[in-house]
Amino acid sequence: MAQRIVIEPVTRIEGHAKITIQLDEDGNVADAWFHVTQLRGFEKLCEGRPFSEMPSLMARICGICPVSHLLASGKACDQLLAVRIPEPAVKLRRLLNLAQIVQSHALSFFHLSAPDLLLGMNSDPKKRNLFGLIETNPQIAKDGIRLRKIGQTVIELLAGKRIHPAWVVPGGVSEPLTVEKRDQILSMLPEAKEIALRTLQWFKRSLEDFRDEIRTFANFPSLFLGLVTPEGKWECYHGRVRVVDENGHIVADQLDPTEYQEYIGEATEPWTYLKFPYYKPMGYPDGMYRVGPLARLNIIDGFDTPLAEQEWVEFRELERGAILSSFYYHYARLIEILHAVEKMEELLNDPDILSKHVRAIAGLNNLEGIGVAEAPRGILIHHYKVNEDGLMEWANLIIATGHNNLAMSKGILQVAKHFINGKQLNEGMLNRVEAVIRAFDPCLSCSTHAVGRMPLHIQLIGPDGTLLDELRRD
Amino acid sequence: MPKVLVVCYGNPLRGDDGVGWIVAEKLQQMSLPDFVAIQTHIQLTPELAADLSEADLVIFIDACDAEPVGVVSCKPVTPLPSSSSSFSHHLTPELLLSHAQRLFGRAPKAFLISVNGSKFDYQDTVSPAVREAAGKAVEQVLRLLKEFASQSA
Repeated sequence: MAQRIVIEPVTRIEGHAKITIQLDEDGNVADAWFHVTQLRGFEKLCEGRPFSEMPSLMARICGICPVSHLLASGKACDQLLAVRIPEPAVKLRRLLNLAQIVQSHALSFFHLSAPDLLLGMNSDPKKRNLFGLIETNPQIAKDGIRLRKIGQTVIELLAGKRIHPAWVVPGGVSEPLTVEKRDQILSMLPEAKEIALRTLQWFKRSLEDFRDEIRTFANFPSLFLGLVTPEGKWECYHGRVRVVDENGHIVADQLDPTEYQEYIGEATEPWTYLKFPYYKPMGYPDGMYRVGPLARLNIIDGFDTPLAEQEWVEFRELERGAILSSFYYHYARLIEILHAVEKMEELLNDPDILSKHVRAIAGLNNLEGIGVAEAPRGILIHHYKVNEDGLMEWANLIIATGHNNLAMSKGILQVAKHFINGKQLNEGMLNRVEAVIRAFDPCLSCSTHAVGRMPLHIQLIGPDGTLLDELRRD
Repeated sequence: MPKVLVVCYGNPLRGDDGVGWIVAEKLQQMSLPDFVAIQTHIQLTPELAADLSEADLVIFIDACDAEPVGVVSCKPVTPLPSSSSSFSHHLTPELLLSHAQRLFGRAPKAFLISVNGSKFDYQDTVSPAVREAAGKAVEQVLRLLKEFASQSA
């Protein structure tokens, strides 16, 4: 009888997940699944509410990336108003998103993944955590907390309340930026830049220690998808969608993000509530793509800030085509932190950032609106339909973690095949399976939303593909 | 000047989990001394350790999935020893205090006020018993503040 190894829960990712690894008769890994046994329920909560409430409501989806939902929701509502928001408001929203990228990436890199990177995949699991990091590398731990703090403080200065910001409103933002706040934010950025550069230098030096992980951490051909500027540069707020293949060749470019349904499909599987988005022209599952920091650095023609551009050029020299190993998500995050800090400085030094014209006022003009922005973990889509009274009738949210679902599952199988066999199980092997998921930095509290007790479907599949056992709980 | 931090946390879209936010709102409507700062969070995150290390007293307020619903409890919390947990994405008050101690050399005196709840599904209102209990939690905060003030005098 084939055996199963179940790792539950996966630690140090937001939310909870379960992984099932299927072994064959010889104890070798035959297959692997990434399960999310929670139901998306948040969209249901939106129904019947005034659309104007959506941005602040959506910001409560997640304690880790509230700003991303706030922005995507604000953009969807801009479409409902059918307004073009003032340019200073675009700059302020962009500034907010950059601060969000800094703080979210800092959490992922310094606090969730650094224990693996600094203490080693085979180290004692009781010490391979933030405690262990503080004991062995207090400066790295402090740097992470400081970057988080800077990002959060910028968000608070711009949007008022850190976790429940109501500053982004349909049509723009509710208040302009003051000189005092601008100067306060500017004063924090040199330290953030110094931390980003210092960490990048350390991380690049340590890459040699992770050759095995680089080779096996979801290192396979796939598409990469995200937003770029009209010039093909890195973009986090507006922009058009670009898709590249494993060779780095552009498959599609300057696609309208509001027409996402034309080129993104969503498949479902009975064993998880997390949907499987795919690139429609290539079908399911061949249309697997990755989003987020690694994808963004693979799709762009460069950054428009000098230090990040320099780092990106070096990064792209790792491989001839696209950078395929998901281990490099960590590397990409650090470059994006650097760029975000540089870009924030640039925006804050633009006199237009202090303009008082930050909001377009209008009533309901469209019954459907789609907002798209780059969240720290990848492209985020909010799609709303309202009735004539402006009350929400339907919402669809496609979250970054969902986009990466296919690639995460394939990555788990790859790393499981390499590091696990039935005869030699140890903690280091199991942790690598979890670590490959952490490389994607999934945020399951965003991508799925539990509503009470949900049906569960468990299948036991033998080496010949027959169903050995099945359990349902309704 | 002494500094007191009241950290109210939980997700206000998850029914009774949002009781901390109600307590925060009630406290903000009162004329509390200037040295009392109130924060609301959906969840505890690592950078809070820096704020904690600068406070003399921290009061955490959270919902608890326990019976009987509406009961409010208050207990002191202290930093955890380093080997107590391998998790870091769901931080607890004890872990945060430990981070403050280890990273910034100082962990304040701290209490956790818990409000028992039972409905944690998607809704933006708390159950009646929990709403009533929010008032009792406020009383507990005021009691701790009074004790702190008399000890600091």
